Amino acid sequence: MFSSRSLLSCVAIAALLLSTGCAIKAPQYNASLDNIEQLKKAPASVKVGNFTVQSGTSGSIGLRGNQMDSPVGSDYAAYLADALQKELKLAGKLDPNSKLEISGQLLKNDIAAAGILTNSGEIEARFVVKNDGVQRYDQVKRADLSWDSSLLGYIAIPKAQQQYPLIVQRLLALLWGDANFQEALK
Amino acid sequence: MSTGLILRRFFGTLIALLLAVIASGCAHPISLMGNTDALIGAGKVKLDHAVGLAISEEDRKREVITPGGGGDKVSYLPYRDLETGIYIALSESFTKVVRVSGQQDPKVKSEGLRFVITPQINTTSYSPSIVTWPPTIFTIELVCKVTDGEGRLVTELRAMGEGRAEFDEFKSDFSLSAKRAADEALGKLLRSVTDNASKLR
Repeated sequence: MFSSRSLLSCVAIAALLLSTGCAIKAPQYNASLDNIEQLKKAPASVKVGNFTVQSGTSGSIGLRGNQMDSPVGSDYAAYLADALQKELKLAGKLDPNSKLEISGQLLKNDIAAAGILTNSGEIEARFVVKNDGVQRYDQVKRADLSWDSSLLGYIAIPKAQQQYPLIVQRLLALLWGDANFQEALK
Repeated sequence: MSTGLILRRFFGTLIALLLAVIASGCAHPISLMGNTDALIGAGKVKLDHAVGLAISEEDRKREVITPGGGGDKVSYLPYRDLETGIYIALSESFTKVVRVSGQQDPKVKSEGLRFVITPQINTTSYSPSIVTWPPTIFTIELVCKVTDGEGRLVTELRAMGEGRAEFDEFKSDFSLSAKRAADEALGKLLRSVTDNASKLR
């Protein structure tokens, strides 16, 4: 006769078999070529200022019990700043000496990876543009993405992990394509 | 219901589930997006031409499945994952790079593109492991056909990258060998442009 402790052990082993159980990092940001082409039309070059995480927003993302951390800096605000820098640099619009500065705050940053058929993620951030210290732009942008998933953790978790940069790409597309943002750079 | 019966049903379900997993042959998704930062500023020659990078929407969505370890497979989208890296490598070598859908894209004429560069990506993956699925060896072959504005072949840029990763390294990044292969292949693509510079002037 098995005890309840044995039963719990079996459940734990099954859970291990169905998940990867590792601490993981989000993929490095890969610039979007659509974003770069959009950004090349920006009227001026900018520098990237301070990006923070809003109090109460988690610094990491949970994917079925696996903690996914930012591969740059100490949180996802650093990831977002890095993403901006990469796209600005590739578009030839990054100038550390510019009087125009983009800063921001990460308001929401999450991936719902528990679904067995579909998973989704969302990022929301406030972007502020200042020209020589004078505020020219202050808007919140939100991007989300859904994808087919799986019951199996070893399929669902890597797939969710790989979607994160794609959500960031969508977020930046909204910023670069905003006519008010373009106007703020003039 | 007795505890023994519960456990028999539990193990029966567990075994059925594991068999279903094994039989289904699910492919583990991995990424080929390497560290493209290393390419920036790495170009040795700058050819004064505007060129087109031709990757079709169909190729961007193309999923490739190759072997991993333990009888499992890995899946990835090579054109989607490598497009940015190829674009950066070409931007390091030519004064302007424009994305086009193919040789017939109106931008070839309207933007005065000197060449159209069409990549073909071939991949292989392998792992000798019987218990872990991430590939320990991954190869990427880039074959970029360079054609002139009329579609005539000018040259081919070839680059081969091989990435290796062992368990201690890839346990926190299952795509590591693929990313290393991508980094090497893209670095060699830059060198291939330099080697073919005389044909591309």
